[in-house]
Formats: sequence, structure tokens, C-alpha cells
Amino acid sequence: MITITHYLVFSALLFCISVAGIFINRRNILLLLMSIELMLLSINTNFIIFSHYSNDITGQVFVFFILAVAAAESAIGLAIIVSLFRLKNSLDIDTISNLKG
Amino acid sequence: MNINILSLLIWLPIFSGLLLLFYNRKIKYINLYNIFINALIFVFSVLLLKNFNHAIADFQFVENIQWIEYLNINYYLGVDAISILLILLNSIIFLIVAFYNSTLTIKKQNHYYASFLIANGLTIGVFSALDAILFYVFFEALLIPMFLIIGIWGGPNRIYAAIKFFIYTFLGSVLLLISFIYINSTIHSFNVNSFYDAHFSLAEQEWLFIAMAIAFAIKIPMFPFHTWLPDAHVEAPTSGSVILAAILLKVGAYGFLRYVIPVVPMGALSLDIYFIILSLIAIVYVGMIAIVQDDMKKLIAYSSISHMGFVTLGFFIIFQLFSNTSIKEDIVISLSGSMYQIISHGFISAALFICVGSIYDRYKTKKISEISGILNQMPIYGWFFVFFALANCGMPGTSSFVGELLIIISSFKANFIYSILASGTLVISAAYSMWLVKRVIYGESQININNYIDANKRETIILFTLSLIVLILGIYPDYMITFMNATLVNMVDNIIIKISI
Amino acid sequence: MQTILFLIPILVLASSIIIGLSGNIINNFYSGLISTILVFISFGLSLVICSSFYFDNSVILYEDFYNWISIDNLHITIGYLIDKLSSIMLVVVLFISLVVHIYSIGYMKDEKDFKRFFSYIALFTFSMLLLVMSNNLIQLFIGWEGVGLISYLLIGYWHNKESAIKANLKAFLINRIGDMFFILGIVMIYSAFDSFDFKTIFTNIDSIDLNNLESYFGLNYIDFSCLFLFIGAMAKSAQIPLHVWLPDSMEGPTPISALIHAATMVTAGIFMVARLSPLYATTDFTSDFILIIGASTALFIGVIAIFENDIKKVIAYSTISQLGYMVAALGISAYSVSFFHLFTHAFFKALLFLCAGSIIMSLHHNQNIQNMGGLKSRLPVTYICFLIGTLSIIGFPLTSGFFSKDLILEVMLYENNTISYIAYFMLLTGALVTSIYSFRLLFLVFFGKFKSGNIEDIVEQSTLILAPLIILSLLSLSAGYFINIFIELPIFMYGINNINYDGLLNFIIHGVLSPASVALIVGFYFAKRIYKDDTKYKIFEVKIIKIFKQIISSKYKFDEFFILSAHKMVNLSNYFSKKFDIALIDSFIVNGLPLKINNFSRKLRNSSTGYLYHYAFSIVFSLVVIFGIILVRVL
Repeated sequence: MITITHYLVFSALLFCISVAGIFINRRNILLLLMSIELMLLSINTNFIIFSHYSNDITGQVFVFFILAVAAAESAIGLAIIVSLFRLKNSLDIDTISNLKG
Repeated sequence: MNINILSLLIWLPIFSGLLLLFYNRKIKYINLYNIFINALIFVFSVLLLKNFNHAIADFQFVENIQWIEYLNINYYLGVDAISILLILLNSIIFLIVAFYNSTLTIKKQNHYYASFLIANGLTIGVFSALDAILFYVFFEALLIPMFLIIGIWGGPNRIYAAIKFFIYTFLGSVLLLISFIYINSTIHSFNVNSFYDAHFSLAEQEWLFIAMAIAFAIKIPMFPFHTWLPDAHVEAPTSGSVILAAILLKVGAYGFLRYVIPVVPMGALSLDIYFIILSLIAIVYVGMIAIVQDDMKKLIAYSSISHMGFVTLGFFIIFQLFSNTSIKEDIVISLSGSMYQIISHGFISAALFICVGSIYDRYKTKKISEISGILNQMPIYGWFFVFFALANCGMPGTSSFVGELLIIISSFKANFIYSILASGTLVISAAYSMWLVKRVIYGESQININNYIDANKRETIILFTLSLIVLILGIYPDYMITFMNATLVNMVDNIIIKISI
Repeated sequence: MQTILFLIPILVLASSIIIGLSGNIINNFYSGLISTILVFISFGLSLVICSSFYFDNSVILYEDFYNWISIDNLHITIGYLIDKLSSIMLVVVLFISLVVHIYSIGYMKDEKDFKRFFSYIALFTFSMLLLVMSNNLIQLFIGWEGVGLISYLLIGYWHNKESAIKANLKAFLINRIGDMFFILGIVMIYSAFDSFDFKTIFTNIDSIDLNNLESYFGLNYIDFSCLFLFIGAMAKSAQIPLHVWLPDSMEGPTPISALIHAATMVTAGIFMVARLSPLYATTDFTSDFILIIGASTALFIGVIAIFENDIKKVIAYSTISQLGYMVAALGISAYSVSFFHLFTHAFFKALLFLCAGSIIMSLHHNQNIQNMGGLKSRLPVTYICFLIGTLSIIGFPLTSGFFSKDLILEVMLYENNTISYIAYFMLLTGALVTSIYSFRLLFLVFFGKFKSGNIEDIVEQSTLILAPLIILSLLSLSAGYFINIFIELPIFMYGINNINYDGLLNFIIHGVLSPASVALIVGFYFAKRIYKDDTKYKIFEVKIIKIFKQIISSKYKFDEFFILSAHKMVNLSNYFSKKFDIALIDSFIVNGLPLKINNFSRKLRNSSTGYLYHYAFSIVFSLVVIFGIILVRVL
């Protein structure tokens, strides 16, 4: 029997994977973007699960909004990455540390 | 008087200074304008002195308008004898500086003059504000023109000196503001008169005393807080140094007289010994440091600190006199001595800085080891320098002797050791002043260029006026001493009442 | 009378101001003349004043005419107190000043700064008058500082000469050390009597209760304050160990040495003690101290003169030694006797200095006596005057020095205690020493053979220079006959009043037969044998004598001591300045604190690496920690 716990654990795992992706990944900024998307997905999963169990459709409506915004966001993100690549000729994260104090 | 003369004295120079910021065409007009405004201020302050009734101790020429109703802050102005003397000193020195500057050619001349004009108004504001917050505003605002004068028109290391000066004084001011707010929280007023009537517990008084005393001690400056002054003096342009030494240091001393001693006398009474020690250190130790300086301006800066040590000694010695029987008279003597020293040092240090500045203009160096035999090349300057150096070491007949004598008299009444150390200044000030004269003024000329021009008419007039003032103050001190007597007696009465309660 | 008293100082001051500020309007000679005439008028007026005190001991003229400072009960005034003491001092000061004025017109005629010189000496005379006429301690101090200042300016008159400006700085600073104690003494006296006024102090002296006043170091209050006042006098009157400035002050023009550093200013200390005699008469320790200082100065500094080769410095050391005599007499409370010696000394010492000036001028500013000799024939007038001066200073019978010195030696024996006996013998030996160095000077300068160049080149100076010498010679011979003025004490002078004086003739006989005469003759004999006849005594080869000679020639290393302490002081100041002010306060605290904060921030800065994943990690990590804490709390 798959309970709510299983779903939650699954979404938590998904989240952890994406966080780990952000921490551990030092190569490519594209991977970073993908990890962020994954993070959003794990949240969306939560929304769907809670919506399903509490019989409230609002949660699933939210998911659509989030997905739409995420799509726009990743489009902007990709655009930024493209211009960054043009600027720096690389997408290596280690070279991008303009915030260093 | 119908016109509000104090407001006029404050705002006329400030607005005319602001106006000057926008005019930069003909230097000649700028000069004339600058001298005219300063002369006007001088005339007004003489009028103020003339119409002042020195037999009455109350504040006169009072103006009281509500400013910030919610916090009970008023635009409250008024003067007593102490303030009037300082305002007069202020306007004389600024007039002299304007006159001295009149042949200067430097970058942004109109801004330079404007800074001085604004500083002039603000200083008068400091000396006549009777509302603590108003005082604080003027006190702080005064930093701005001085900061600019040092920071823009100063020497090579000017940024460092200006920032040091600014931060140091600002640090003190914060303590001052906190104290004012604390006092306000108990008495719900920023009015000086209600400050005088306020009563605090001993612990409160001690804390308030420490906070305010540090604020003003930085400004004076007293011994451990003094290191900003030599730097500021060395980097400041000549007229900046003159203002710094003659006016700005006196603001600190005035603060002590107006906001510390009468407001928290019990705190001062319990901590006076530390401040007496600091004053004595300033007199002896800083005087010794002055001996070995190689930069003339630094030497005079240290000598200023040493002389201001006399002023603070006079302030704090009074608390040691309370055990004596004829308290009141001795305290008045001591405070009169301090006030006299303040005024006298204003003129003498101004004159010395003008002398050094003029030497610097011609020789392009302030190093004692690089100059000698000025008397051969510029006899007029040389003799004026000798005169002011002698005045600086307290020669009878010059104004500084009066203050020193009065303070030595009262310090002996307080304690024998104090008077020995205080009179050590006779030797130490002679050592640094006359050794300076020996090395710089006398002797064979080191740099043998014949085209050093002696003091021109303008400089001669300036130095002659200053020496005349110094002599008159030295030969006829009774006018000034009687002038401030009623005010000081009143102040001492208040202190005695507050302490005896 | 009052108008006259006003006029005396005012005329002198006017002279100073007119000459000082005249610029090019008046030429040198006329400015000298104007100033001389004004001083002459003042002198005449002072004689008028003095004549009214000549016979009367109880009259004083006293008035405050200017209120300098008054705060409640503190009144500092300018006024005058004229009694016998100050009226005689007035005459002496103005007379010497007049003579020096005349002499200077001749002596300084080639100087560029002729007017500055005249302005100074007139101002000096004014300050001295202020000091002498003063009726309170502060006015005395103002005059005291005034004369010190002019002395400073005149020693450094040739301000291009390194030795001169060193000497004047030294004089100023050492006098300032004295002044420091002097002003403390004044303040102490004020605290006790609540007045600076002499009259008030003297009338209250008996009613003052010493038990109410603090005592310091076991000395009672008055004793201690008098000691401080006397330390001031030690600097001004060049007593051991504060005498070192006086020989150096000879860098100034010679007329100045005569006026300031021999006849008037240096005697201000003696005058001050005499003026305050009611106070000093009550002291025990201070009087003994004064006696010892005076006697040792008289002997030990006098000895230095025997080995000195600069003609002016020999006279300067003899001045110090003679001042020692006066001080010793003050110590025995014989204030009027001391003042008598001051009176006679003023004339013969001014005479000696002016003679020396004349010699120096004739020799084109050569001052070394080893290079002189045989000048008797070339400078006959100067020789005779110098001889008279020498005879006076050694106390040859019937000259002025004879009377005053003999009186001093005599009063030494009035008190039967060890200290005064020791002092007596020191002074007696001092008389022998005086005789030796004076005759040595005379023999080396005027006798023997001229040692540098052609003696035919040397000519006597102009009348302007010689006339003052002759006037002073006459006074040096006759001043002693005023002895009876000084025997009786005027009002406001305390001390020994029963001086053994029964007529002039008896006094002379008594004096001639005294041990002092023996000392004189012995001194003359040795000086003649050694310096005139060039006898080589074997005893000078003995080692111990040589060591003595060396110690004396080194001037007891007082100069070195003062220079060393000045150096030490400068080093200490340097240490303070570098190590304490710059290193500790400025660098460590004032600039160090911001620096520390800066360093800390710099370290903190490293934590922001600029890598996104670090930030993200820290966000998540802190979230986890915070949630963990909340969780723990909740559970």
C-alpha cells in the first residue's frame, strides 16, 4: 500500500537530490538550472499529493501556475546563461565568482 | 533691541557663504565680499558687546522660538559674558583670517571663503545656542566646513588628517548626544536653564560627566585624546590652522563651562582628580613633546595642547577647592584664569600660525632643521615671531601671563604639587618657544636667496593688530575680568548650591 | 613728589618707545642723544627723590595707582613704595644707566642696529625701575621678568653669532627655572597673607599664625616660601649652581655687561631679599642656606677667575663672586650691609667692565688676556681707571670696596655659630682670591710686553668712552663714604641693626688692621711674583695642586651638568614623543583600533567566496540547524 508517507519521502528525496546537485556540481551552470527545476518539481509533487489527499483542487491549480512560471523562469535562465557564455566563453561555475568579497 | 542680533550674527555669514558658492567670476569681488561680510559680523559682535549689560548674570538677547514641538526642542538663543567674549574672539579671528586670505590664489577660491563664512556663523551658533539640541546641531555642523577646509585645501596627507579629525570628533559627539537624550528623558527639556536645575543621583552624574567630558575633551583636546590635533594642524592650510587653534579648541572649553561643570557638578567633584592629572600631564608631558618636534606647526599644535591643559586645570581645580573656607572667591579666580587663558591663547596661537604660514609660503618648508636666520632675511616677521613666542611662554605684559598667574594661584590653594607642576610650564614653554626662536629666527641664514620678501603691509597690519591685542589684554586685563565676573559668580553660586544639596 | 615719581619711569619708557619706533626719522647719534637726555632727566629727578630720604628713615611714599586685576578680594595693583632702599636703588640704576648710555654712543657707533640697542637699554632701565619701585610682589615679578627678557634680547644682540644665541637661550632658560620657584614663592606668600602688597605683608607678619599654615619638609611655611623666592634670586643673581649663564652672557655687547650683568639686573635678587627682609629675618633654615650659598659662591667661583683668560669672563666671575659676598651678608641678616656692597659694587664693577670694553675696542675685539700686555703706556687713562677699579674690588683702604667688604666680613662674626664662622673664613679666603685674580688681570693686561702685533697701533678711545670711565672712577673712590646711610635701617627693613660703627676714622683704622688687609697683601704679593715677575713656584708642579687646578679650570663641570641634563631632557622628550605619543597612543590605540577592526573584517570577507553553491549550502545548512533547534525545543 502506498501511503502519503511514501509520496512525501519520494518528494523529499527528489528535493535532496536537487540540493545535492547544486552543492556538488561545480562544472556547469546548466546543471545548476536543471537542479533548480528539479527542486520545483519536488515541491509540485507535494502540492499534488496534499491536494489529492485533502480533496482540494486548489493545490493542483497551483501546480499549473508554478509549472508555467518555472517554464518562463528557465527560459530567462537559459537566456542569461547564453549571454554569460558569450561574455565568458565558458560555463564553468568556478570562474564565475564576481560576488567574492 | 528690536532686531534679533544673534540670529543675524549666525545666519548672515551662513547665507552669504552659501551665496558665495555660486559666484566664481571675479576674484576681486569675491575678496571684497568676503572681507565685507566678516567685517560686518565683527561690527555686529562689537555692538553686541556694547549693548550687553555685564552686571547682570542672566542670558541676554534671548530669542526663543518653538522648533520641534513634539520633542520640546526650541530655537533658543542667548548670551552671557562668557559667550560674548568668545563670539568677539571668533569674529576678530575670522576677520583677520579673511584679511590674511585676501591675496591668496588657490583652487575654488569662492568655496574656500564660503567654508570660512559658514564656519563663522556656525561657531557663533555654538556659542549662543541655549538649547542642547540646537547646540549639538551647530557643534556637529561646524565639523563640515572644517573637514572640507582640511580635506580639500590641505597638505599632501590631508585626507588622512581630515578623516581622523572628523571621526575622532564625531565619536565624542555621539557620547554628547546620548548624554543630552538621557538628560532629556528625565527632565523632558533640552533647555539649558532646566539642565542647570535638574538633579541627578551621583552615579548618573558620574556617567553623564564621563560621557560629556570625553566629548569635549576630544575637542579641546585633553591628553590621551590629543593626537588628531597635530595631524590636522600640519595638513590644514594656514588659515585653517588659525581657525582650528583659535576657535575650534575653544568650543570644547566652552562646552565644559556650559554643559558639564554646571550641569553635573557632583560627577565632576567625584572624578575631578583624574581630569586634573590629565591636565597636568598635558601641561608637562605634552609640553616636553613639543620641545622635540621638527615641524613648526606640530610644535605649535603641541604647545596649544599644553596651554589648553592649563584651561582644563583651571576648570577642575575648582572642585579641589571645596574643602577650603573662602571657596567662592578662589573658584572665581580659577575660572577667570581659565577664561582668560582661552581668549589669550586664541590670539597668540592664531598669530603664531600666521607667522609659520607666512614662513612656509616663502620657504616652502615647515621643518625647523631646514630654516634658520629668518631675522636676516625678514626682520619684521622675525621680530613678530620673537614677540609671539615670548607671549607663548607667558611673559608678563602679554595676555598669557594673566591666565597662568591666576591658575597657578588657585592651583596652589588646591594643592602644592599641582602648583609646582603647573608652574613647570614656565620652564617648559620657554624651552620649546625660545629654542624654536633660537633655531629658526636667529643664526646665520641657511638658504641664501635674496628674494625673500619681508612681511607686506597687509601681513604687518595683521600681526601688529594681534600683538596690540595681546599687549592690551596683558596690560589691562581688568576690563575683561570684571566683564565676566558677574556671570562666573552666578555660575559658581549655582555649582555651590547644587553640590551642597 | 608724586608727579616726579611718575615721570621717572615714564621718561625712560618714552625714550625706549621713541627710539624703538622712530625708524629712519632720527639718525643714530641724535637718537642716542635723546635717549641719554631723557635718562639724565630721570636721574636728576631720582636724586630729588633720594635726597628727601637721605636723612629720614621713617618716611615712605606709598601708593597704588593702577588696578591691574581685581577679583573680589584679589587685588593686583601697580604702584610704588619708595623708601630709603628703593630710592637709593633708583639712583644707582639710573646713574649706571646714564653712564652706559653715554658710553654706548661711542661704543656702538658703528653698529647697524644702534637704535635697537638704545631702545633695549631704555626698556631695561624701565623694567628695572618697575622692579625697584614696586610695592607688591606681582609688580616685582613683572619687572623681574622684564629685565630678564631684555637681558635675553641683549645677550643675543648679535643674533648671527652662534655662541651669542646659545648663551641667551641658556640665560633665559636658567632664569626661567628660577622664575618658576619665584612665582611659587610669591603665590605661597599670597596664600598666607591674602595680599601681594608689601605693606600689608610686613604689617601682618607678626600676627600671622604659623601653626595654621602647612609646613613642608620640616620647614615652616614662611621659611619654605622664602626659600623658593631665594631660588628665584639665585638664578637672577647667579649663585651656585644657577650661575652658569652669567659668564656666557658676556657674548653681549660690553656696555650691557656693565649695566645688566654687573651693576643692576644681577643685583635684583639681592634687592628682592633686602626688600622682603621682614620675611627673611624670621627664617632660620633659609637664612643659613643663603649664607652657605653666598659664601661658597664667593670663594669657589672667585677661584675660577684666576684661570680664566677672557678679560670679560674674568670680570664676570668676579661679579659672581662679589654677588656671593652680598648674598652671604643677606644670610646673616645684615640686609643693609649687603645693600651697601651692592651700592659700591655697582660703581666699581661697571667701571671695570667699561674699562674692559675700552681695551677690547682698542685691541679690535681681542679679548684674550694672554695676548695682551704692556698697555699701560698706550692706554694711560684706561689704565688709571682700571687700577682704581681693581683697588676698589680688592678692598684697598679708603676705596669704596674697602668699606663695604670690610663691613660684610665684620658682620659675619656677629653671630656665634659654626656656619657663620665657616662663612667668614670662606669670605676671607675669597678676599685673597679676589686680590690674586684682580692683580693678575691688571698685570697681564697693562704690564709686561705686548704679545700680539705692534703696540704702536693701539690708541686711546674717544672722550665719549673715557668720560664715563672717569666719572665712575671718582665714584668708585668716594662711594664708600656714604657708609653712614647704610648703617641705620629704614622702616620696613629688619635684620641686624646694631652694627658696630663709631665714626669713619675708627672704622678705617679697624679695617686696615683686619685680617682682610693681610689677605689683600698676600694676594698682591703672589700675583706680582707669578704674573708680573714670572716666578715659577715649584709647588705648582705637585700633583695634587695640578689636580686642583684642573678641577677649577673645568669650572666644576656645572656647564656640563646643565648641558647633560638638557640633553637628557630632550632625549626623554624624544622618547615620549616617539614611543609614547606616536607609537602607543597614535599608532596603537587611535589608528590601531580601526586597523584591528579592518583586519577582522578582512578575515570575515573570506567567508563570501562568490560561489553560488557555497551560499546555497550555507542557506540550507542554517535552515537545517534552525529547524533542528526548533524541533529539539518542540520535542
